Amino acid sequence: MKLFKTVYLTIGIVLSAFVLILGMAGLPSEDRELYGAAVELDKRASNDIWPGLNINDYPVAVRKGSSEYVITKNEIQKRKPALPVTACTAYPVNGEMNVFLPSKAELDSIGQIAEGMSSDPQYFFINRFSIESRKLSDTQYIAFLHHEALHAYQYEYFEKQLRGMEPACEESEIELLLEEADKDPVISSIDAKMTALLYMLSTDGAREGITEYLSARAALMDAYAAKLGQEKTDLIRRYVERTETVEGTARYVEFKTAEALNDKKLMQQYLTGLKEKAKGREKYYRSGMTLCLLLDRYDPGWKQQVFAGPASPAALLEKSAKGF
Amino acid sequence: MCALIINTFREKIRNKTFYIVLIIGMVLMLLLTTNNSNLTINGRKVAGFEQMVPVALAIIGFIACLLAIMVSIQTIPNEFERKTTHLVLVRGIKPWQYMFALTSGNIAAGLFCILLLSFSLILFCAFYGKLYLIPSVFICSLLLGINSAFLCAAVSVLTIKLPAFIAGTGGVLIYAAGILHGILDALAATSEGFGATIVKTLLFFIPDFAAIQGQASAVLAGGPFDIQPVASGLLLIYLFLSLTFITFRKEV
Repeated sequence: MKLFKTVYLTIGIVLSAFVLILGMAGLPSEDRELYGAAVELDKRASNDIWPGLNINDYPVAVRKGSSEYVITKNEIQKRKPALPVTACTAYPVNGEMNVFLPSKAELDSIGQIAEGMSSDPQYFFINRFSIESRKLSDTQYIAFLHHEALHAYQYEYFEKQLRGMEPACEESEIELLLEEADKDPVISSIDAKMTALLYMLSTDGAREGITEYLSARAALMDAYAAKLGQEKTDLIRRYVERTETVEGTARYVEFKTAEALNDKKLMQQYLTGLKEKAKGREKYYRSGMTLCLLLDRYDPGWKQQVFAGPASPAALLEKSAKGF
Repeated sequence: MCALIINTFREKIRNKTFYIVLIIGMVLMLLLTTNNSNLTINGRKVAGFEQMVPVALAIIGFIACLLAIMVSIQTIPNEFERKTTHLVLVRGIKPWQYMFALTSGNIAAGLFCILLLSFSLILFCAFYGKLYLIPSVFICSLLLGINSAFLCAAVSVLTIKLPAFIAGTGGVLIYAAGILHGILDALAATSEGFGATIVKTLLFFIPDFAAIQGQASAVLAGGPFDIQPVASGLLLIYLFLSLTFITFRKEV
């Protein structure tokens, strides 16, 4: 019996030590490689994605379990998580903008965790889990890194301007308002028309289509005004324009990252997504991205104006369309 | 103690239901993975060996875990009901040795079931003309055995204190939490508060069944192997097995 106890105890000690050592192994090599690939991509294609945007300008905090690994230009440091929860975001830590992202393995588990959770969790799950084979591709992860890095860039250089675009109430209140208003058949039919037009524009980008889309956009705001009154419509307009400016450009950066990496399948996935009727904030991520792609065609200098103005992608496109 | 483990194991594998479920599972797995069916996951048609491996392992994993719960649910309560406990304990066997032996017997039966299920995996490999993977099938089965051994240990420990029905339900919930471990973990990490803390604590004591299954799949279909979920699974089996040293019913 003494032998049994000794052997049993030894097994326990060896197993515990093994698990402990594995737990201290640090940031998985997969995440280090993906960060390296993102930095390399910026070196050769930064201007194609977003001029001036470089991931290694910001510390990237990769969360794995209850630890956070901060990757800076030359080193990786482990620290206590700066945020109470796992999130994809950009946030200042000790006065410096940090890019926050879960590790690839964790992000694989539930898709894009923070984005899109605000309005409709049920839809979020169905949508995210329908992504082929559930796992994110390496390109997708690099694209998300660029998405969050763009937020860091926006808030480092244009915080004041972007704060000026904020609506005068909580975004969640406007989202509830929109959810209710979108049930209206008139609003819903204009919305469906805009979705179809956006998809069409993403593929051919014809000038007539742009004029038609902008008219539909104005008609939608009129329909909101008829249903909710001018004051609430102004709130909605600000919310939509701000989301398209802040998040639409970030989604555009994801698309451009896929393009720079020549991932045609992922690019197609972004474009095909435009066909589907999106709910909540996601709708404006997509419309914002499409507007940015159209601006690339008709107003090549738009990136210098969009945050500095601030001028929403829709406003810039409207300006360009006047010259058609 | 070895005699007790062997007796428990023999008693378990004599059960006819055990074989019926096993055969149904094997046939189901082979039908789904070798038939040129219209199996689709996330809207995509699943075909070919590499794509079918995770499907085959998911079915085998599910059947094995179901059998693990079936095998473990009655062993300890039956001993108390039949009053065999008294007969064993008067022979100088300590209560912890007795509980440890019964739990180990259950684990052995759970592993035996995985071994039998691995024959269907061999047939699966043969169907795709990959008989050279037979050694990998055994490693893969051993990895799947971790999930089933953990369930056997957990359900056995639960049955020491709880009625069989509750312990069985607990086993099913543990299986669900194990399979959804990654998702629940990530969800808990994105939430704050008491609920999130409870979920994190519970998940700490349950292995990531899906990750272990993923490693088994990596062994069979080729792919990067991560030892961490496997090591954590083994440590948790050890922990639950160790609980038999301190858990015993007052009635004998």
